[in-house]
Amino acid sequence: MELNPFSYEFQENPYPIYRWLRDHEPLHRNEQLEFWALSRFRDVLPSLVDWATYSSAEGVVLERLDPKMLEATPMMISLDPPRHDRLRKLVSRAFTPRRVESLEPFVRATAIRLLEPLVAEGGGDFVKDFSTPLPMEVIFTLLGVPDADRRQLREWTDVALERDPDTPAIPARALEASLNQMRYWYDLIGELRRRPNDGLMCGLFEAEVETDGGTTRLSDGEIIGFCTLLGAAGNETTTKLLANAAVLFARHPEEYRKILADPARLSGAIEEILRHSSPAQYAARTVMRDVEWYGRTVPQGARMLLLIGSANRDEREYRDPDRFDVDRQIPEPLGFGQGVHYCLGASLARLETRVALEEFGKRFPRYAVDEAGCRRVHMSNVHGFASVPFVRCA
Amino acid sequence: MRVIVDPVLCEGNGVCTQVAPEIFELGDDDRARVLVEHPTEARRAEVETAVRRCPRRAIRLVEG
Ligand code: HEM
Ligand code: SF4
Repeated sequence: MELNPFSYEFQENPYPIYRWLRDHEPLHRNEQLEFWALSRFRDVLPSLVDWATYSSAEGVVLERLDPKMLEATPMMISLDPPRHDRLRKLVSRAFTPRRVESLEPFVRATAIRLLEPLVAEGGGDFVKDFSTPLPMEVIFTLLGVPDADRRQLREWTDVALERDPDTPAIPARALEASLNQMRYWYDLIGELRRRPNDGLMCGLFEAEVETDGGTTRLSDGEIIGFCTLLGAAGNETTTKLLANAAVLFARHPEEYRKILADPARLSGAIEEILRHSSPAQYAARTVMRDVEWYGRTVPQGARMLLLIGSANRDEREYRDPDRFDVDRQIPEPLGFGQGVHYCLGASLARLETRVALEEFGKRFPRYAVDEAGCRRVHMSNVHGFASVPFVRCA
Repeated sequence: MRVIVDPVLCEGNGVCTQVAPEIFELGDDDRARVLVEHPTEARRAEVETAVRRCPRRAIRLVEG
């Protein structure tokens, strides 16, 4: 069997291939696409944490990113310590549980505003009408993006991540969308330097970064890097997690009834959605020294995929791993990564998901998803839906 | 054993307070505080998980 993250068929249902890999080739080699992959929980977890051996500096997706681009707009997600830590430190305080909790009323009001027309219509498209605009309003408000620009910017984020079937080549439309996005951030930075607002971005203008010699201000490229990363990470995965939740609960009404009856179980349920249907299916790394796995040597410089989506379904770690069980105990969550790159937005994503599902549950205690009408996104490591039509049931 | 959080390294993400809510708490300054500096042996596994899971490696466990 072969693992090709760009195969649309694989994206539709990656789990049978993962299972085969865990059982037969826990270290997998794809000659053609030139990568290696680890699929077992106990192999993925320590490798995620070991940043010195598994470097993020060439990007965390399989497709080759232009090194000049990576350097022009540096992002913490594709940097190793110590540079990684210096950038992360500048924004980490904006995403602490306390700061995130203060956003709850805004998140809730936004969720309710978006759900109202769906209630009136008796349904709609969960992704287009709800799980896309909700995280978008939240992260773009935090960054200080003007209302009028949000939809366009959000669309570029989607297109920038789209991939054609079976190939790691980045499509022209995706490159163009990335450039449009960068140009947009560049212009906005200029405008906000002249007329600041209270968004996170303006805080970055004043931020001081440590260097080996002293401190400096962030360059425009670094600020663009922050905005691009927070824009993409803050939008894409949360949109996917929410829609995965909507589909899972529609397929498992008995589990849905449990969280409706006892909202205290929702937080646990969110961890289970993250495990069962992880939006981030893998993290790619570059191997910094020869490493031994299962009697083979993975040479220095090789690309290694750490298959989070597979580790989360490993029967060596979880009983009956394909079962969706909102009461499952998850002592070692992997859905937000682990180690130095542990998702900066984890508290925010958890809050958005909880509030969104609470408000959705109040309005749609019974609903059905039109499975034939669902469409998936075709991205490299982000799995989920582009469209999930649903209707309220009596 | 003794539990120590380095307030300079800590970024206040609350991973430790989720893993071991009886040992750690987030202060108003968004830094983790140790509630029980000398936990009993029964807590060792929890504390070790927090040490390992801390994304900033800000928690230390010292014997004695
Ligand atoms: C359910 C939603 C989310 C999921 C599943 C998710 C998942 C992840 C994962 C797996 C990583 C680690 C990547 C790696 O190790 O290479 C990560 C990193 C990151 N995430 Fe999230 N994320 C989500 C939401 C968010 C949100 C809302 C934000 C907004 C602030 C965000 C910002 C980031 C950033 C900045 C990083 C890079 C951290 C670093 O390199 O130190 N994420 N995320
Ligand atoms: S896990 Fe580490 S960084 Fe996070 S709050 Fe606890 S001590 Fe601080």
